[in-house]
Amino acid sequence: MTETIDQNNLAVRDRLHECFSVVFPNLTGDEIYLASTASVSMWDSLAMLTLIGVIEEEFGITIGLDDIAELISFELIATFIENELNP
Amino acid sequence: MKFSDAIKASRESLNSAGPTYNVVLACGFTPQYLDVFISAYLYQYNPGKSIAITPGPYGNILEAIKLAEQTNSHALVILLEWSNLDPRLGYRSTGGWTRARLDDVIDQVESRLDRLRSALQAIGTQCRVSLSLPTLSLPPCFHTTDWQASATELRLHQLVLDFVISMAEHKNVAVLSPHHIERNSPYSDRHDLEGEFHADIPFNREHVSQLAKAIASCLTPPPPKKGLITDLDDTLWSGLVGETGPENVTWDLDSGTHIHAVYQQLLESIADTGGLLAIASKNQKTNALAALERPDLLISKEMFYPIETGWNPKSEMVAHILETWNIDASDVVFVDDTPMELEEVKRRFPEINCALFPANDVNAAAGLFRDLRSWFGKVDINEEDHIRQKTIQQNAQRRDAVEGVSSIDDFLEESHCKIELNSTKKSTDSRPFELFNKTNQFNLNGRRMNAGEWQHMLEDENCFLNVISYSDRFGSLGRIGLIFGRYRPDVVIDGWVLSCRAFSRRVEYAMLAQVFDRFDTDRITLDYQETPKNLALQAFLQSIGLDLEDHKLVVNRETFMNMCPPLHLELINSD
Repeated sequence: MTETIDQNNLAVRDRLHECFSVVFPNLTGDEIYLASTASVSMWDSLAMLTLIGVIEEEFGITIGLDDIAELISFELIATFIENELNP
Repeated sequence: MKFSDAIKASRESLNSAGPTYNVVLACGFTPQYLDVFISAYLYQYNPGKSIAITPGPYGNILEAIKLAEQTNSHALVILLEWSNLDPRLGYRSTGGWTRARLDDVIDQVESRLDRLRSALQAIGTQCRVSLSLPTLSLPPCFHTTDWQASATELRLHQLVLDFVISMAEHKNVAVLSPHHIERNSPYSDRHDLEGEFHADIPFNREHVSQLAKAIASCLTPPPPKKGLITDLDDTLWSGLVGETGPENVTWDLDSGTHIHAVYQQLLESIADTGGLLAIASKNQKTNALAALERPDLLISKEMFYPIETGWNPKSEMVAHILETWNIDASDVVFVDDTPMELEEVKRRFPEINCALFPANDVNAAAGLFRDLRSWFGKVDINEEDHIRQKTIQQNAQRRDAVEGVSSIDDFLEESHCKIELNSTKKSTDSRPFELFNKTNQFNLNGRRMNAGEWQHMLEDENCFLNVISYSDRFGSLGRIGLIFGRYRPDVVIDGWVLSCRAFSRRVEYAMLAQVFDRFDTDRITLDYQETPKNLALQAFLQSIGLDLEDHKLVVNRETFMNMCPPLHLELINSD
């Protein structure tokens, strides 16, 4: 079961990586994994809305406005999605 | 279209090296997602073009219209929501919903629509305009219950409708169909109130996608299909005419076969706006004609030409029809109730649009009728649309006549051919624009223009445009060709098309001769480009001694006049 969750989480990160690459095409593969609102200058509020839109569409989830404020890095977003998909 | 795909397409369009298509977006809210989707759909419909969307000043539609005028944009997109007409009709404003305030709202809405009307009339025909009525519902600000419409609410709808009706009468304005939007984006799913409060983005993403798709289709509509080939049994009527007899096939309410009557009515409407109709039916001709001649048929037999019957494969019938019409399979729709027949035709003509007539599912049939309307729909109807079917039959008569004549020169001489030339550049005449964009076989370079680009060409003082009409003793073909280009400093032809209905009359020679005469020049440059379809144009260019390996072809007057065959054409200048 743990192995399955790990595999699923790996898939989540791969898919999330693709979402980031669509919204921030200038980031390298490695930069995406380390991306945050502090480190990526183009990650402003409009880019956030675009990123959230792409993520909602990719994972079939709805991200409430209250949650968006906390989702300020790739890692935090990945964890959020994993929790949403595996409650 | 997925949002991520729209982002990629929009980015790709910005990086495209092709000509730029400039669009100003006028909406009273944050255009997030909307500009991306509009750009993506426009790029999908206009591959190779660089789509540049410029949002107008936030919340100010009038300033956005001015921006479109000042920047000479190709297109203007206007999305009107209730809150743009008066903020009190939205959820972000707290201006009050008392009866006195609502009376003032009516006055404000009327005044704002008047200003919009004036601003749009000032922009004239400069660019193509896509206009959307409010797609979100009004807030619960009226004194009636939710299930009863108040007079104030209806008055608001009336004001908006009056406005869009006055705009829809302009040829360069396309109003989005609310029914189309409703079918593709249900009313209840459109509004994102949280997004409206948070960032003034009032639409759900799917609604944005559907709106953008409709907007892109309005701005750059695909060229309409030219012909429809229909089956008879269980398609034009219910029943098998060969089995039951012509008097027993049905299309009425009592028999439960009324859907076929609706189909007949739709076909008549398509023919009325210039679509060609033909029949491909596995039946004995006598049976088919007997049923077609029934006085209660809702479409006249004369509207179908040719009528192919017999027991050959349908693809052979379709081939003969295409040859008679002389149009490409990609411009034709084939309708049949039998999937196997559709597949057989599709195998031979992959480009043809095959549509199943769902005789036992009236709702699916209604969907087919909407598809047919979209395939054959036109922005504008002109004189040539009314005579197209007749000219096909006249051409058949011409072909029969020419067989009995000793030489083509004798035939042309006896035909009393006339061409009428008009060189006034009228922006209100849509026929030349339509002709330019749908002609393939005699087309100098295969390029297409959208409405904004065409308008720019018309307004260029250094550009000329000659539109040709043709008639002979068999009848008139209407406007069948055009040639345009620049004449300062040298004469260059940028676009040249001639309808296939006018082939074999040497009209193309007369068109070129007229350009030499009009500008009194000894050389004309042709901006030629080979395409998979412009073989007729290539044959003509080779006939006047041009080497098609050269990209810029230069026609020397003396050489042309030496190689030009006798022209048995009377030229009339109708400026």
